[in-house]
Amino acid sequence: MIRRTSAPSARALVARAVGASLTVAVAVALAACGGGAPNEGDGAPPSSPSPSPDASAPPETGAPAADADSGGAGAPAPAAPSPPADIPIVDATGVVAPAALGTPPTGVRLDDLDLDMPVLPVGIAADGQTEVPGDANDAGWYRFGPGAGSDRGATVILAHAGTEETPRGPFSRLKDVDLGAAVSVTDDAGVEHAYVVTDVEVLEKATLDLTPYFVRDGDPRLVLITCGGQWDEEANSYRSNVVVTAVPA
Amino acid sequence: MRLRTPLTLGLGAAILAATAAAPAVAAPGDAMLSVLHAVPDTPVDVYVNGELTLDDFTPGTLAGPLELPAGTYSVAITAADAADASAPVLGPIDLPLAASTNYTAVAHLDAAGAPTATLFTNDTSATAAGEGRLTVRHTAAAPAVDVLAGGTAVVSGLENPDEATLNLPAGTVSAAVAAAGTTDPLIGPADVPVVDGQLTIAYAWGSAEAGNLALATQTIQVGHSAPGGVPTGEVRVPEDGVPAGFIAGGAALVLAGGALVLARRSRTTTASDRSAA
Repeated sequence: MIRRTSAPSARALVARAVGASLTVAVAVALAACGGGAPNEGDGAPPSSPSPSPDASAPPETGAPAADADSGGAGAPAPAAPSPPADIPIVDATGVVAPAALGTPPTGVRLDDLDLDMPVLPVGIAADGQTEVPGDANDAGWYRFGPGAGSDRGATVILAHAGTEETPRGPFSRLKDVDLGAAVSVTDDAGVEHAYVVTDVEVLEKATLDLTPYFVRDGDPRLVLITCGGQWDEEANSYRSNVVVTAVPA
Repeated sequence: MRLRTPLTLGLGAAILAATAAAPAVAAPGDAMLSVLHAVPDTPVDVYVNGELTLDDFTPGTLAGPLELPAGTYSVAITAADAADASAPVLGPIDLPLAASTNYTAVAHLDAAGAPTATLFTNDTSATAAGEGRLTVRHTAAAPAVDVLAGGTAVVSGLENPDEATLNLPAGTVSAAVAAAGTTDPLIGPADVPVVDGQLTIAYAWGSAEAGNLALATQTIQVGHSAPGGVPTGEVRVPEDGVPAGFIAGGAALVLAGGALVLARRSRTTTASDRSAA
């Protein structure tokens, strides 16, 4: 296959044209606690396993599927061969809307910590890290991952531990939560989804791979993230993320 | 706005990989093959290695993905009422399928309007966090085209049967296809979703001369990437449950609140121990 690369001007046009039509969810805190090692682009996609060494050998004959020969031997009327029935066929003439996992959260409550916060959708900032609501009294939902009530994957809600505006935010208390504590997430339809805390971790950002906390498959779970651990005066940030995992109650 | 938006133009390979409901991958090592019928007006049968695989396959429909061991497959396309693959209207052609690779074979018109087929390879590598992937393929009987997003050309001079792939911030793109160097849409505009962790493939198909140019789409779930970090520590949270103002306020206030401070300190110590563990 021959590949060629576009002119730089085309790239700029893409950035302009596409950027204009997109929505940016939430203001980003620039004086963030940083330190997370950028790891975007890593993580082998599940759809691309390594080729097996012998896989390049062509098959001898080739029925492509086990049942593809149903029209062969034993079909007395050659004018009416019958194909395998299990090949999905879809109309490609429309634009397919992506199937959403769960529904957007609008609130999170954890009574044991006196925590009751609105939740806003957040995306990815220019530095590849998550956006974070500017006030520690607001939480953010990672809108590219599953929503509340998803039947699989991690619903991620994050918030600053503290901000200039709110020096001691509710999420600064996450490190003190007891296992078994009840968490409730309200979605944009007003439905409450109940979770129970199963894990509290303090993980150093320098070595933290967030991949397992942002999965979109596997058992459904709620992941609450803030900063904590030691304060690094030099970096003006916390050295760790506090990560609370909860499962559907 | 992220400025690292790779734009690549590629020749040849392409496919349709999966519908939303289809698994992204089968047994490790299998190739995934989807088939798009993009020849207007003509239902066909598709034979793979002599076996009828798609019966009365209608234009504008997408079949698959088939999960196939790596190898070369012979594909013949016949009239829909053919008794076997002995008199194909197209082919037989050999499709070499590599292990663990996702393809779409497209039966379509060439630029001059004659039926042909192209095997495209789908880019199923993980998208960057917050980005989706859009591939556009020219499979129509039409001259070179520009692909417009929001009215501005983002792909220029794309010819049949070439493709271009863009990694874009997740969102919705208002996409249209116009003759190269023009902005008057031949197809669209249509809102095309750009989804984090998804490859969306848009096909221009049909015939300009026959006036039936149209858009076909295919979506494939590909890998996604976790964010580079969660920067949630804008300021150092005041310790010991004493609001910062109290410290500045003087010793009297601190003494007055002594019992409360002691009570909370024990809890903070516990938390610190846990943090250190």
